[in-house]
Amino acid sequence: MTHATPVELHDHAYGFQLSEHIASCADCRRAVDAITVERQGLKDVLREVRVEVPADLLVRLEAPRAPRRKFSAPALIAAAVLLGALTWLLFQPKMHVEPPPSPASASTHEEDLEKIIGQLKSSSPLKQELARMALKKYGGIAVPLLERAKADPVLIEECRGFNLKDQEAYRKAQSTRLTVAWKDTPLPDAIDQLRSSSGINFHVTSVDNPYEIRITLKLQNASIVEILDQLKTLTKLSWGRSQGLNPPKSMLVDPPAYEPILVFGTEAPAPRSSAPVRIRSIRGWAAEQLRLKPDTRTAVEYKGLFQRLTLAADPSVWDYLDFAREDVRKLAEDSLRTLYGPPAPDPRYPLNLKLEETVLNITGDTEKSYADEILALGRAEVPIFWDPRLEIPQESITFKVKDLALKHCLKLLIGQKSLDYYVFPEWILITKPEWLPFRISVDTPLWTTVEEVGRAETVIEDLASEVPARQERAAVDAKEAGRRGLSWLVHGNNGVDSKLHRRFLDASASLAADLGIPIANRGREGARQKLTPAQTAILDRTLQVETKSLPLDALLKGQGVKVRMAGPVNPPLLVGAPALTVSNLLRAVTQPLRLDFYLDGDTIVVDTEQNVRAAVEKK
Amino acid sequence: MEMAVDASDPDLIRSGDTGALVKRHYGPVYGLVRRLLRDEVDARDAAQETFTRAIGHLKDFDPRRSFRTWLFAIAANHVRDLLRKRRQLTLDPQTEDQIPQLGLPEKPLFEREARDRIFAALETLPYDWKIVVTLHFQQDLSSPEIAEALGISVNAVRIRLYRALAALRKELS
Repeated sequence: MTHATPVELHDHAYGFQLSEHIASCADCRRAVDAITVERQGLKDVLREVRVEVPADLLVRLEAPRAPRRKFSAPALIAAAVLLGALTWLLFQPKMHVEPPPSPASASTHEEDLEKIIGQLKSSSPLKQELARMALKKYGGIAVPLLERAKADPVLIEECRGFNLKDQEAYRKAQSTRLTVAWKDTPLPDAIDQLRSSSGINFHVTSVDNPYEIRITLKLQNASIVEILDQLKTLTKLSWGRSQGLNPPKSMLVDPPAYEPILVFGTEAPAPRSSAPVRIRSIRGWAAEQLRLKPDTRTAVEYKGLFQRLTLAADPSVWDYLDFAREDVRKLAEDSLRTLYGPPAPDPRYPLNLKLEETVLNITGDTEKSYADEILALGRAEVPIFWDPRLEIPQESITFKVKDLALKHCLKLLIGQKSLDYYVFPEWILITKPEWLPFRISVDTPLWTTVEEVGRAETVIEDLASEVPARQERAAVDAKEAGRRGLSWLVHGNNGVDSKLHRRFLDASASLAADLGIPIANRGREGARQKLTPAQTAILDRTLQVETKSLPLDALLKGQGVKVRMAGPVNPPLLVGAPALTVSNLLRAVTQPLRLDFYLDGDTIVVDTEQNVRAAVEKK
Repeated sequence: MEMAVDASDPDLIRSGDTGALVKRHYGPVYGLVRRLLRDEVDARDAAQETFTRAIGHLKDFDPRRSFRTWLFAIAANHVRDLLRKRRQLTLDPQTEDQIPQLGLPEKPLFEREARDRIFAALETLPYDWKIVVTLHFQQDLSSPEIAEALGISVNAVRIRLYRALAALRKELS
């Protein structure tokens, strides 16, 4: 019997030319196995550790104002001319000076991560537990450092996004060995066979016409991973592992029952990384606090200290786990759990429940106006306000639903106009997604993508600096980032020194106003007015309101409430509220319009925020 | 059952989400150039240059091609230019399209213990063999993908791969 030549053996093993003789000849198979072992060995050796994108690269690629360039000679001449002009400008009054670079922009998370990884080696189970929690929250960014530290492989896999179940499925795929003999078999059938033989959940995705892809392959006693690699070579399609962090979004899959999947046709996405937005300017101050004697502060003062250190994601919190006082050690533990634990859920009000539990049936083929359909939803004891900055729709529609929760009805109806809604404690506001109210949280750390952290920290440090040009740049950069920029400024305000609060508050308020975003939980100036019992009774009166055309003054006057509109706008309203106090009606309407109100005797005066503040201060 | 799948490269290109493209492909590109340049700082610069060029010429990208392969092509060209300027570029000394003398591997050669020796042996390879080896073993690219990235035929990939294997075995034996 003539055996295959070394070249034929290599061609078979590397998929250049498959040979039926080799597939059926034990001697040749052994030779191919030796080549395959060598091939896999080379793959293992050459496999690179995963690396994170440097934040500065992302910023550079996104910001055309600071591109990395090499200059040609003409460009250098042009630059020289420009330099001359700039030199001349230096002697002009009020020139623009490029602000100095921000220290935060060059910072990385490596130092913080090293400190956390150091806790893994501690003999304290608590420190180990907290460190694992923290590293998993950082995700992919921690992997290269953990690999360098030769940390627990299970933890490294978890940081890559593969939870324990995912890891178990992959181990099974490595250890389960099968013999397959496919001849012109459609790809889905081959995958079905792998699924039924191994008990592993497979899924083919991102493959056009998979039944047209035919597989001819014979393998004996090969692991699932090896079979998938061979399929990959044959079909030029990737395969990957599903990640617990990214379970299927399908309506057909209930996440708790989610089973890990080996996905054919697409690679596993790169591991997710996140990092906390730090307030680096307080690090010196934070280090000093550690040196104070244990009895310097009361328990309440320590609580305040930890709140600030947590929001600033300051690594000194770890050091308090060894503090002399037990109550302080406990506070430090709680802080670390807040910083590295799951994010606090958004607040839920009774209205949220009502939206979920109220089920509607809207039948009939009659066309109604869109506005009437909105009002009909409001009749289910849920006060609904159409953002008064939006035009009230006039067209007619047919809207039918059967046994659908009010929440979904609302989404369905306003989704037609690409609108969204926001739940206040007492009412619901329908508005544009970019105008959705922003809720300030004073006790939640801000985690986001690594590249966004770089931008956020730069903005915060710039605004906290005493260089006017940097402060200006912070305002511009925050505005460029839109709603995200607003969250950075609000977060910065929570962590910076108290003497900077006014600066951060003003910057946040100014940006929110520019973006048209109301601050959901900001107190109004008019609320500082001292009211008489009679005036309080006016505002506490409950009304039943429904209109799709009346402005605020006409609506209130129709209910016997005295009102004077002194503000610049008084648009028609679309409001459906079966029971709402006068005060809440006014707040819901005036907030998006940046108006406010106060009482002059028994008359409600609606005016700009500044005018209301002045009037209240005068009273 | 459906599977959550991130947006495809063409989708990201269409939507102008260059950040997501960079995030997805930075690791492989960095891994490739690091292996070719053997220096982390150089590799960082080369990876950065690759993405700067790619994003700058995104309009020239043919969406029917693989974006990853296109990136590798840019990276390979850049590294080649860099090595040429440094006079460190060694090319395949054999010009004819001939399959080398191939034996069979000795099993222990490529085991993990030999890692440093393998890296040292890789360094002895001419650039155009080394890049085929790196794209295949490190980046898991198929032969047609390597051919597309390097602008050569699949048979040329095969010959370079076999020459590299023969050389590595000889070096490590």
